[in-house]
Amino acid sequence: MENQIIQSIITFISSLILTGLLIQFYTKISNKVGLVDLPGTRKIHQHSIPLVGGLAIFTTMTIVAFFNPTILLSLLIYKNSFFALSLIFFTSVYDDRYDLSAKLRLLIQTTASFLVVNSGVRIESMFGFLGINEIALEFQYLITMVVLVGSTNAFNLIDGVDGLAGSLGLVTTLLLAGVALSLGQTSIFMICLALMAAIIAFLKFNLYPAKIFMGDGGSMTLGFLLTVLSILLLQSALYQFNTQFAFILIASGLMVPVVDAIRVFLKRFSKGYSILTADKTHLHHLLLVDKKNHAKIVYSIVGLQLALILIGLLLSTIVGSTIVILTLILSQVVLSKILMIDKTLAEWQVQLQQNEKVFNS
Amino acid sequence: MKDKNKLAIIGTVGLPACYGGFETLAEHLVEHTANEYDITVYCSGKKYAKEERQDTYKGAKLKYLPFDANGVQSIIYDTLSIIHSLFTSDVLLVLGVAGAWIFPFIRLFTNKRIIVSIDGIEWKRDKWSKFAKWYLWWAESVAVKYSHIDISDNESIQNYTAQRYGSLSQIIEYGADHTMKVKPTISDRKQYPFLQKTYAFKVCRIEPENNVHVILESFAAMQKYALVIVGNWSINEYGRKLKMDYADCENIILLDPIYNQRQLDVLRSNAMVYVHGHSAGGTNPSLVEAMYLGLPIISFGVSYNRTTTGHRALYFSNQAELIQIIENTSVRDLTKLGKVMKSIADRRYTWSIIASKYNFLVQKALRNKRKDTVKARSSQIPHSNLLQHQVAHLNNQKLFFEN
Repeated sequence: MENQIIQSIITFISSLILTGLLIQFYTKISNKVGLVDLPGTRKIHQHSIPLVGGLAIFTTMTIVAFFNPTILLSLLIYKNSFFALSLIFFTSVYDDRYDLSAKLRLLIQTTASFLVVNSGVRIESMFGFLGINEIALEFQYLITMVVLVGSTNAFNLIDGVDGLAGSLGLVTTLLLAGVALSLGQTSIFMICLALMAAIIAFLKFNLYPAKIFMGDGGSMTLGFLLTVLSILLLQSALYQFNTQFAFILIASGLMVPVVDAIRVFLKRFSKGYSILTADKTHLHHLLLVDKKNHAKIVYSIVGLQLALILIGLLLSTIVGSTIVILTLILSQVVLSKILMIDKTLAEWQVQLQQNEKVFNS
Repeated sequence: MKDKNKLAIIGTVGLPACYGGFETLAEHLVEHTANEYDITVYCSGKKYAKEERQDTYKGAKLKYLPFDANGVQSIIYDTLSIIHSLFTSDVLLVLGVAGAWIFPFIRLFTNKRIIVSIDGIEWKRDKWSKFAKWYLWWAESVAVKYSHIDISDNESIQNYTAQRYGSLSQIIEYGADHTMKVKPTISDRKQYPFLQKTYAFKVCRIEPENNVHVILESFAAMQKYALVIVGNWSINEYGRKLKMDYADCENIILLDPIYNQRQLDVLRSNAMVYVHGHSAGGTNPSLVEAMYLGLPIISFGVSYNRTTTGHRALYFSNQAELIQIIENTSVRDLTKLGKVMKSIADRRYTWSIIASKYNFLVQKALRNKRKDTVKARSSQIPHSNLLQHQVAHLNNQKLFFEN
């Protein structure tokens, strides 16, 4: 026990320092290798910024894993998942540098998800959500792959404001660490610990005004890793005492980016656009009133995430998981709708003033 | 004989009309079209005491609901009226957007026709709270998207709905021929001594968006011109403060609201000039009425007022301009301007014209389920087909609201 505490502390501190050092190193070489994000019409920032956050976080994670016997052991057990994660990581970093087509990217994500699912990491039960408990094997494959690909991309989509994806990821990691600890999953706890430290170090450089970005290599990999960890915890929670509780906690941890992505896609779909059309209707765009309030946006959305987790916890003591999850989704959707109305209303106010000017000229 | 079509008028305080523009409109619609339609008018039981309620009025059936027609309660009031009207009517004429949230369901489950009058750009007005603005903004979008016909009371609002929704809104303004030129009697002169002199006149709600402060300030700077403003000065802080500030100005007379039509008509029809400060809301009934009385108009220069007055009145946008206009316009020019205003009002703002426009829309709604859009029908044909027939230029039209 004492040994494990010392190991945890060492893991945390070494991950923190290592990420910091690696960020410095990668930033120096980023210009040479072309890993920078250039300002463009869809971008909020003005200068080219190194896309090295993900690179630093996941290099650190790998190095730490090899020196931490608990993590190393679990890597060997879940080697397929580790391989899939690496696949996502390398293609995403490649994507940052050279741009992959959306279709190829989706194909690779599906392949990686299949690797994970096929190795036995699957959502095996819906924990009573919509009245469903255990699910058939083919649906386990389907649902798990959809969840994996979906939330990986959702994390990528929410990465639009300085510090946002990192902060949301940090809260989710913290939550998963707590769940892992309570379920006695030491290895997952250790991974979360190392990840937390790496994200904290990253955020130091990424909070507004950002000196570096995490890039697709960061957001996709982070999304994928967090989802895999969530599924592993769900599997171990299945045979435990407080199953529903763990399910709602884990689900609410991933909820904010996922529900936002689904909302935006459905909206585009219902309007007849391609769901991949770029627009500015994500949660962070709705909050982006002036270009300097990144910190406020991060606080608001992380606040929303924490509030949803808390509401989920409280509600789960009174009602079943179906109602809890639907309530959480509904609250987020209604909130987004109100923000959307507020934003477009302000835009039309300007438009009407414009009309008035044209009319009078 | 064929059964008459059934029409419901929803969203007014009720009949007999003694409140605002929509109620006057409902009254004259009933007067002019009760022969052609079986009309039901929904009234607020809060404003009509039990003993003054009637079952029918000028040929229209009246239904009373125990809610206020304005404020938050208007959502419930309109909604319940709409639901009830499904059992009494074929065409629903909904005045205002408060109950519009239910339109999609009506379109989905019934074959009733909905005509909605969106009544100006309500969500823009400062008098609403943030939540009210959000609701009105959303309700307006539902109202326009899910109605068969939407009505704007002003060209500028038609531009706005075209831009925002691509809908071709029908313009119907208000009538004014219920106002009359009244010669003051001796007792009138006794009650209002200023009737002997020349004065400028204005009647409105005392709100900042009506620029009452700008007009008062201007006249305070011009002692030789008299100004009479009728309005409710004690309803808000703005009004109370203005009343206090200008109590000592001898050329400014501030009167409390007048609900007697004749008394109001005496005051305005004998004015030298009408000053109109409204900056919001579309076509304002008070402006239309002043035009009908043949008063020369000096108006705040927003697009609504310019279209209402046919771009022919005098316009100001601040205190300096208002003073400049008043000091430099001769009485002869003002008289001429009054005649122009009167001719516009005679042509556009009489209730028989307004009612016939509504009548036309009801007929149109009964015949036609498709909503008018601003786009030409050619825009529904695939571009390649148009190219093939060498008529692709049809989709390159500049529409009326585009600059």
